[in-house]
Amino acid sequence: MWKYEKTLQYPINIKKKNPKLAKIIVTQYGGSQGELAAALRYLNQRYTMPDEKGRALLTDIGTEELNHVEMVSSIIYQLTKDATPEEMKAAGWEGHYAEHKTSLYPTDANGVPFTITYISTTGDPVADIMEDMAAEQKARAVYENIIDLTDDPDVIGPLLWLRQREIVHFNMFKELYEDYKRKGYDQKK
Amino acid sequence: MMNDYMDYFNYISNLNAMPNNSQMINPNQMQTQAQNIVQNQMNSQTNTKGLAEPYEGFTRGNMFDNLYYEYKNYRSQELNPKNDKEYAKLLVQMYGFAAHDLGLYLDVNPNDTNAIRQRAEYIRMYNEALAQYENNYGPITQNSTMLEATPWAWDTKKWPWEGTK
Repeated sequence: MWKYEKTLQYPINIKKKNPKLAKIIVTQYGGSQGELAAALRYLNQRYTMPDEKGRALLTDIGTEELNHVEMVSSIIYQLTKDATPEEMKAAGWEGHYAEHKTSLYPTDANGVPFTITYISTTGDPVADIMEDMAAEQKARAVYENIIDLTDDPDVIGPLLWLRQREIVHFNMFKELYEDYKRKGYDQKK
Repeated sequence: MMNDYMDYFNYISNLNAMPNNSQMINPNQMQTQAQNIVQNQMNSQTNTKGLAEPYEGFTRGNMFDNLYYEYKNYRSQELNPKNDKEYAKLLVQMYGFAAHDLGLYLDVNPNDTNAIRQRAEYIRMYNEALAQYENNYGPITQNSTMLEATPWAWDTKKWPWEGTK
């Protein structure tokens, strides 16, 4: 079960409205390398892990990814709070305004809605953990791309922080992957 | 059976007893205490090797020195709380994060006694910081004793995504 705690995992306090930036960052909410896909990927894969290490790690990282969904959502919310139709249009985000006004909706940076086909579960723990390692690396790369496009320090701070989490998660998955290879979990023993 | 249950219930009730006004810590005192927590922690030599201090680990988002690498020349953001409330919140997030990151490590290294001991220390500090925050500024968890008062305090404070300008 999950319990809500009334705090972000890391603080987000953005002073400047910027819907154009929100339009880009939304991909880390609802894009293929986004936090929502990460959470669903790990929380679905955990059931068929072969031992406690895998079940524990996927549960705990999957849970943390829900915190990151909330952080990215908070960034988008703060960047678009009280944005006028004109401001959304100037940001090239009038399509979002037409469908959702300024409410949250998981899409990628091109407005493509979130789809569960972004994730996979194979029933093979070595294949699943390898996918998770790749997912963390791809999410890190996308955070870096977004940082390149960002000049607001209030936004860069949290993005750098989220990027570090991808690095930590990648390494924990890597350790688990090597352990599973050693144990021959891909040999269908 | 019933007696055991009642003993347990009384025990828990005493632990969670709502502080009366005279026991409430004033914010200035609290900040001093909070700073002491950080100071004590920084002076302690009990840290597992290769593990960042909680403030450094939290601000950079990575407790593990060997896993940390920066992007280009970007430095992690310094967190400068503007008032006692933000300071109290920072401690909750910081110790919560330090314990969580060690927890991930322990998921794949379950026999590391030093890491288990260090995590337990962070959890103890987290619980202390959480009680300090909740008793002064409102509930973070549904277990908060602040939720024993009327009106119901869960929905009367700002939500986390609002931020401060």
